[in-house]
Amino acid sequence: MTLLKQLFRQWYWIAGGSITVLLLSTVSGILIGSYTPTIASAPSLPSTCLPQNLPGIRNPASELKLKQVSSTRYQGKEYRLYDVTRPATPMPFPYVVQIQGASCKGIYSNPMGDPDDYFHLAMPLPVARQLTLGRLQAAIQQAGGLPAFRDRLQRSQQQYGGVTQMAEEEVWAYQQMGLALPDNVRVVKATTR
Amino acid sequence: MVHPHRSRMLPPWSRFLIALLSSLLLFLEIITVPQTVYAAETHIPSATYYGAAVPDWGQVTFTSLPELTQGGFLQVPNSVVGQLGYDPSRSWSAGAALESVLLLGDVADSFGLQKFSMGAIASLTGLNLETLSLSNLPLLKEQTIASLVQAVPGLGNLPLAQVRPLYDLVTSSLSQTGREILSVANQTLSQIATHDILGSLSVNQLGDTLSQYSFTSIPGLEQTALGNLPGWQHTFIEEVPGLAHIPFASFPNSPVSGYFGFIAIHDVTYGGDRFHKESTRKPTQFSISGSYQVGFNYNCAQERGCDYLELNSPISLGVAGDPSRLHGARWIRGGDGPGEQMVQGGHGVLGQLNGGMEPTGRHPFGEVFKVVLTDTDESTGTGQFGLYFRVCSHGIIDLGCTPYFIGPVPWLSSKEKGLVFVGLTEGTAPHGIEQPPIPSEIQDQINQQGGGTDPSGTSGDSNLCGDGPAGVDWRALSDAITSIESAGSGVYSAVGQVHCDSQGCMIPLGRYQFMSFRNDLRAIVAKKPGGREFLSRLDAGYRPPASEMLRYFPASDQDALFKQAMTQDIQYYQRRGKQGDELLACLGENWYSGNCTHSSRRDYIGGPTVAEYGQRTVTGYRRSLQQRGKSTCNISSGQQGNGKATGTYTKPVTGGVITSPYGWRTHPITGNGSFHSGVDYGADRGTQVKAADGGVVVDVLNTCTEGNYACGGGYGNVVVIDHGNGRTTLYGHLQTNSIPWKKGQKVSKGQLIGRVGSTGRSTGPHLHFETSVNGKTVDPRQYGL
Repeated sequence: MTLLKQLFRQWYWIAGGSITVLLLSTVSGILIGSYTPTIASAPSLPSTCLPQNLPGIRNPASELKLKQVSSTRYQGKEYRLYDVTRPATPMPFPYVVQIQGASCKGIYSNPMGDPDDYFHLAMPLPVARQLTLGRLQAAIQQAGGLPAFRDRLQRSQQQYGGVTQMAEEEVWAYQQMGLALPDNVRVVKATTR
Repeated sequence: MVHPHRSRMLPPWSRFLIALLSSLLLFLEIITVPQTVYAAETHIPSATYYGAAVPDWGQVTFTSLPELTQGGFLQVPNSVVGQLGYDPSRSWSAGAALESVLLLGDVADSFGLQKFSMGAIASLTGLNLETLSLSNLPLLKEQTIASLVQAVPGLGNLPLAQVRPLYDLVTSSLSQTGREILSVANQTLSQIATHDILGSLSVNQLGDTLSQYSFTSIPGLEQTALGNLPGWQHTFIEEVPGLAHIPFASFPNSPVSGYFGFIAIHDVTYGGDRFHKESTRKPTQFSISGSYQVGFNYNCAQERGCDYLELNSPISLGVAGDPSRLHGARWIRGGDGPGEQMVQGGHGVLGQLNGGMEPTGRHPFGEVFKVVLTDTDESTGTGQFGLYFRVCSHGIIDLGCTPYFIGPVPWLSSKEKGLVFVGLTEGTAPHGIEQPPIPSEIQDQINQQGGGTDPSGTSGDSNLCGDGPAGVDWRALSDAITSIESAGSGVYSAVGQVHCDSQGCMIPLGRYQFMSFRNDLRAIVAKKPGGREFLSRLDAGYRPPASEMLRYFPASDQDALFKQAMTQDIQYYQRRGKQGDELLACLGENWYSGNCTHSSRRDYIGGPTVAEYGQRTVTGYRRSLQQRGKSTCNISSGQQGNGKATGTYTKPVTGGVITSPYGWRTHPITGNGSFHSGVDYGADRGTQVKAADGGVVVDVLNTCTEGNYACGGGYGNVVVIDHGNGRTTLYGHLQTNSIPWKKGQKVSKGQLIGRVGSTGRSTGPHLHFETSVNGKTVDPRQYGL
């Protein structure tokens, strides 16, 4: 047996192991790096209706991913709430558009991640309520149903508790779903802003 | 037959294992995480600035500082206590923690800790207010129902029954009749507060039961600034839960927003065990230590000798000169022991305490504390530095400041041939050599410190659009002051209310509400026929009709006096490096309180704070210009900056308080998660926003108006600056048309880039500030912000 063959037979295990690790890390990187939850297809929006002048976004149509969460109609206009995902940010942000005939414009957008969404700032209260209710229903569905969501809510209140404030549309939505909120929640009404 | 080679081969499974382990080592990434340096000789969290150890303000907290190594006391005379309204006297032992020695009142102007609310403290420290009881904040025990209603926003509108601790306080003081209890339960707290007896009930009367009430049981209390609660001045820092754990960089008045000044080489050490006696008779030369009172070139000659560090400059050009003026400079040891020097310090009434003396030293980080060379050791070639603090009181009566005598707190140290941060230097060059021009990057630092004359005028918004001194527009300044003083009436015929005390009566007169006791006003009036008699009647408490007042003090005289008084103030503050909006704010504050301190005190109950008055002056000035079509002057049309990034960030809003930190948040009721991509600084609308570092503007939006909650994608008017190396910063919700720059233009660190507004998705004026690295947002606190 030639020396080369002898060396190969001794070291092919080592080479095989190295290649295995290399392949594993590469494949796992590809899988982890590219895994994203499936985005449900959304009614398409014209590019002019997408969030405009968002810092760092040159081409909203290709860089932003929209997922419709809820919608409603009020006084001849349609309102839609989307979750918008942009590159290199860990959470989608809420974005509301108002559609009337052929015109469409964004009326609310919170990419900064400010913790409280006061939809009533930007739209009539009935619209704010319905969109919030739709969002809550989607969250309930994602949690696995109302009992599971209720359990999570109770755990959260026990763990964190405290006086805090909530937009009146959110309080209304929780009431519609029969979800109890603590008595000491301070309700931020549309008329106070 | 066993193959001879096979007998030496490893079993297959072990060879595979070796391969696996080897490969893992080959592909293992070593992740380095930036560490805060805790070098053995530094005592505090430190970073490096051009090679010299400097405090890492993002990590330095009161709890991270060493204890005081010496005991001391502060004994305030009764006469001063009366003027202060509280007794700041105290004593402390060696080993005391600084937060147990300093009161909130001591550092009111320097750190502004009274601007914090417990909610803000909780956000910054993770403190859980739900587990905190009312008894954990001793300041609350001094409060009455009336003081709480006045201090806590919205509390007065609530029925007594909704605020359990106060309900229990009131009902426990009533006689036991159901009707009495029922009737007060339905009253609002505002109504209860006006009751002579009920309103003055003290929280302290709840006694031990106070600990049973959660801090959040009084709605709105967590959002209430500590400074709103009477008695806050004499609360020790350690008595406010969480406060001592907040990094200095997060204070409302952060001690420094960067490092400005020079680095020196610690060349030679003199003193220590064999203390240097050369200067027992002959003064030292080239001192760079001293005090604000005696200057920072105060040499030393005393019987007990003078120890010191002799310095050199890393940018000394030899015979060509030394721009930093540090070649051969001496930092003298401070204190009252052998080899140590004491110098005059303090000012005002409080300046008399401690004999009016303090250790010699320097202020490389500003006036909040003094850095003193506390020890030198020739044998080891080392120097040890310590911090000293002082007590100031700039209340209704300005009592000045004590000398810096509370200390020392062990600070940084240095070794020979090591680097020491000395800050900006003053005075003449040590060797009298003609100085070469100062390098531009050094000049930039001096300009940002506000101590130099920058011909390019790139620091701040300096364009005041007028023809008066410093470019002041007299009409705009007049409009600004009168919009505050005359409650917007601004009429020359305005006559205020008479106020009398033991020294006589006084009355504010005219458009600018000049007080009748002013000598300059009296000189004008006395020249007119019957003027002296008119003044005598005013002194006796007479309130004249408008027509009579205008006869002796007409509009022309009012305007002339305003210009005269303001011209003196403009020249005074110009000499101290103020220009543009900074100058306007100081003019306003000085008009209101007699000084420019950016203080949170109010000159009268219900009036604005000193700082607010200054900001309103700026806002009113700009509004007047805009209304008269001078809007092109509203923003700086000055030259571009140098675009150079220093690698460190300065706070983008002076005096801004972080109202919402960076990172993940969980809603306390719904459990919903959110991720805040930056920090929010609360500040008045119109407050200047400055570039955190130099760079190139890569994104600008300037046309959003308030009320459009999707404009700028929700960010509103925004500036994004690229600082190179993948770093960018973003400034959001800016005022409409407040950004003077376009894409591609360069800005310098600290340069004005816009003004605080409430555009985009915003519920009130604030700055949303983001820091990013390679496109991903990161926590600004890692930059000491």
